[in-house]
Amino acid sequence: MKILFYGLIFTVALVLQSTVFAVFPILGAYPELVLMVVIIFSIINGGAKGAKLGFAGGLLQDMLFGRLIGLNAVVMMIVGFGAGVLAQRLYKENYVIPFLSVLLGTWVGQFLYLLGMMLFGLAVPWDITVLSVIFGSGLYNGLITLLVYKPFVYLNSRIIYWDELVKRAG
Amino acid sequence: MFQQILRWKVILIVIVVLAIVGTIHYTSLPRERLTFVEELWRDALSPLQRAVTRVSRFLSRQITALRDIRYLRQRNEELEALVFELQQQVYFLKEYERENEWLREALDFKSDVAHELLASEVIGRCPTNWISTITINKGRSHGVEPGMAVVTNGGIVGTILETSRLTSTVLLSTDPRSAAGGLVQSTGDLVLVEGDPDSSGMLVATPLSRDAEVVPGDVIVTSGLSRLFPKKLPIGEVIEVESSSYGLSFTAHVRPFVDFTRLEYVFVVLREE
Repeated sequence: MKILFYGLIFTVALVLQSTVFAVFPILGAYPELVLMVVIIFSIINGGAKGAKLGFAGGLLQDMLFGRLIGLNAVVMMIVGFGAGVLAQRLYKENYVIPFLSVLLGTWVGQFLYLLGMMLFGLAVPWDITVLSVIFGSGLYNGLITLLVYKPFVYLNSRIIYWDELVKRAG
Repeated sequence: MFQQILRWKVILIVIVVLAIVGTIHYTSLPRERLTFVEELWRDALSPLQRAVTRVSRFLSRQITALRDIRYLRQRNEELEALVFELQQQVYFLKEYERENEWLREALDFKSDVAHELLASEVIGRCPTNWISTITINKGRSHGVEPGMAVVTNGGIVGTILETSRLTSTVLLSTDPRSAAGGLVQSTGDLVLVEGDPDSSGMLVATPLSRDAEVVPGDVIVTSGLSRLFPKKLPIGEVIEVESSSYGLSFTAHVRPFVDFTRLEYVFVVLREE
């Protein structure tokens, strides 16, 4: 049951990422909404769940994109696990930790993805444009997090609640 | 007992890692066809993408319209004057066209091949920051095949990379993995136009012959030699020319005419029968 809800959220994120936000770049960068969703759920639910969600979300994005299938899955799994473990014990009721987690997590994720592209033989020009896109996508994700973090905390608690209801109903 | 479970776990992890590395490697190169699951996923998302794209386009247009209304009135007057001027030129050119046709016939030249164009709507772009593709709402069932050219009335857009049943992804001409044959309009020299790996959204042109000459301001059009792109479609304008270390060759930086961030409709060039 939980799978359906998370799958739905990832689908919405993926559609928005490939449509609406394609129109408004910041510093030449577009937001990585799926990665943002993964990091937000990770810092709320911890590293183990973050890793699972990261793998699933990354794979969905990879399949839509069609190249290097599995790379985003691995990258987002690592970032989800890391963000969950590091932020779990911190105070998350204000916006500081979510913002910083998503900002840093997106930077690390984008960097790892480029590293993966290089490893598998795709050319990556390491120059100021690439750095600006990494920087910009992190910032973009961070700013969107400020808007959606509280709704996501609520959504997460609802998903857990609904899941519990369904389980008890058998 | 515990050790046995541990051993199985290790073996399982090794298998999973190998499988993932294998899949990434296999899909790092362009493929002839997508897998069934990928096609299903793309086709399922395409109506959603299309709907969201339309709504966001509508909203952004409303916002721009409100902001630009005063400017538009003035612009309209300017354009009306321009249209009048251009109309005069069109009459002149029509005259030339007729003359040209007559001369061609006299010299027994083959006339340009007519290409069949398929109008398609842009419904999305690549979901990552690192490769420049767009998604259009025409796929294999409409006769689109990988390798076909994609153009707009403003110039070339790119080539078809992959198709599913109802959608296709287009590799933009500004992607470093993209290449097209070009022609310097003023001199007729042939150049190879590729995506600029160093600056996103730009193109680079390199000459195919040693005595080719290009200066800033030159317009590059398609050569039509590959038969992939129709002939004489505008590609872009040269803004800077850089000679290579020994002065034997050069690289021209070209700004494309098409604004890739604002593409709404494009045409797929279907192969000639």
